[in-house]
Amino acid sequence: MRRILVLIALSVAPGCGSRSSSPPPAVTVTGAWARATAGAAGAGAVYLTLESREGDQVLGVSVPESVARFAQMHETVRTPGAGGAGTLGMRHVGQVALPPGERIAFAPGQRHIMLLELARPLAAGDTFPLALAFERAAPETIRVPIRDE
Amino acid sequence: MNIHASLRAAPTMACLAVALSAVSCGRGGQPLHGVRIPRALSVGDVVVREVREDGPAPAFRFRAGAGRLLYVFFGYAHCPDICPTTLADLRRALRLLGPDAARIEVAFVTVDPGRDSAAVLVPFVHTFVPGGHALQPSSQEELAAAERAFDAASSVSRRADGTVDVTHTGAGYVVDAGGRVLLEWDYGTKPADMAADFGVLLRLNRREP
Repeated sequence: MRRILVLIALSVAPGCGSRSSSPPPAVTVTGAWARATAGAAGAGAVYLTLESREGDQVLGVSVPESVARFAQMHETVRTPGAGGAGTLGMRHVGQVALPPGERIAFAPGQRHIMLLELARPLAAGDTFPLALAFERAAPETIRVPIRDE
Repeated sequence: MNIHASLRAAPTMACLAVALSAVSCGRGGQPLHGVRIPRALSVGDVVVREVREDGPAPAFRFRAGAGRLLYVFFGYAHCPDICPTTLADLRRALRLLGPDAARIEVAFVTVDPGRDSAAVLVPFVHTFVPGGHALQPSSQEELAAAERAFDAASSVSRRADGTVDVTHTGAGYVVDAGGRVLLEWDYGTKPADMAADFGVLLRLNRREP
């Protein structure tokens, strides 16, 4: 009986992904959208929510050159003090942790995927592909709709 | 006449005492949303260059027309997140306001005049607010003077790899015809809350000279 219990425990033990025979489940990506831009001179932002059941890291994002030259993950940074309300800025982050079972949001004022050097304005109603690379899960490409707000 | 005197004339007198704490009151004691205490800022004498796509414009002065309110935001056109989000929220607030939105003027001041030419800045502002004023300071001194008046701050720094880091105060300011800052909204104030506050302030400012 005890031997059976040990076998069951080992087969469901978390953190054994790197040596388990099956790949970790995919990262769930929901609610992706990008805001329409006035022109191509500025920068674009993509928002979405990610969840990994077993835990993972987002290692990078990319879009085709026909959309923009660069896609980078950024987080909003608040600096208190200078000026009455403090100041807001953003910081490029190389990777984003996805703790097991937690919904990690790229949302206005928190994190966003910044698109630099847009090839053309982001037009409401269009869509474009966004590729996401993860440490454990297989890469995914999703379709991002462009909206006015 | 300062802001406290002008508010005293309205039926929110009892709320003024409360206004000295962290919450300001509107009609019937209803709190104004997401409002920080106005620090008696007077911005009516500050002037910043306005740019338009069809040619030069008179220098812009930070005071609303009679019976109107002026919304002011400091940001930049290359901003991917905070600025477009705030202007989109403002656009929604103006829609919720309905016909009274005609009494709200909007001014967007770029803290990055080096990159935000008129050709970039004007479409950026007009995408969200078609009649909005695009303000491009003609010098660092002009920008600094405007920020000082609003107690705002910003920085633009260029890295060795060519990327530009910009920080800016993300607050929206509402200014009356006398050039007084009536309230400030932190970044993230919801459109419905902005619309509600606009409504209250428009009623209080109906008879402002």
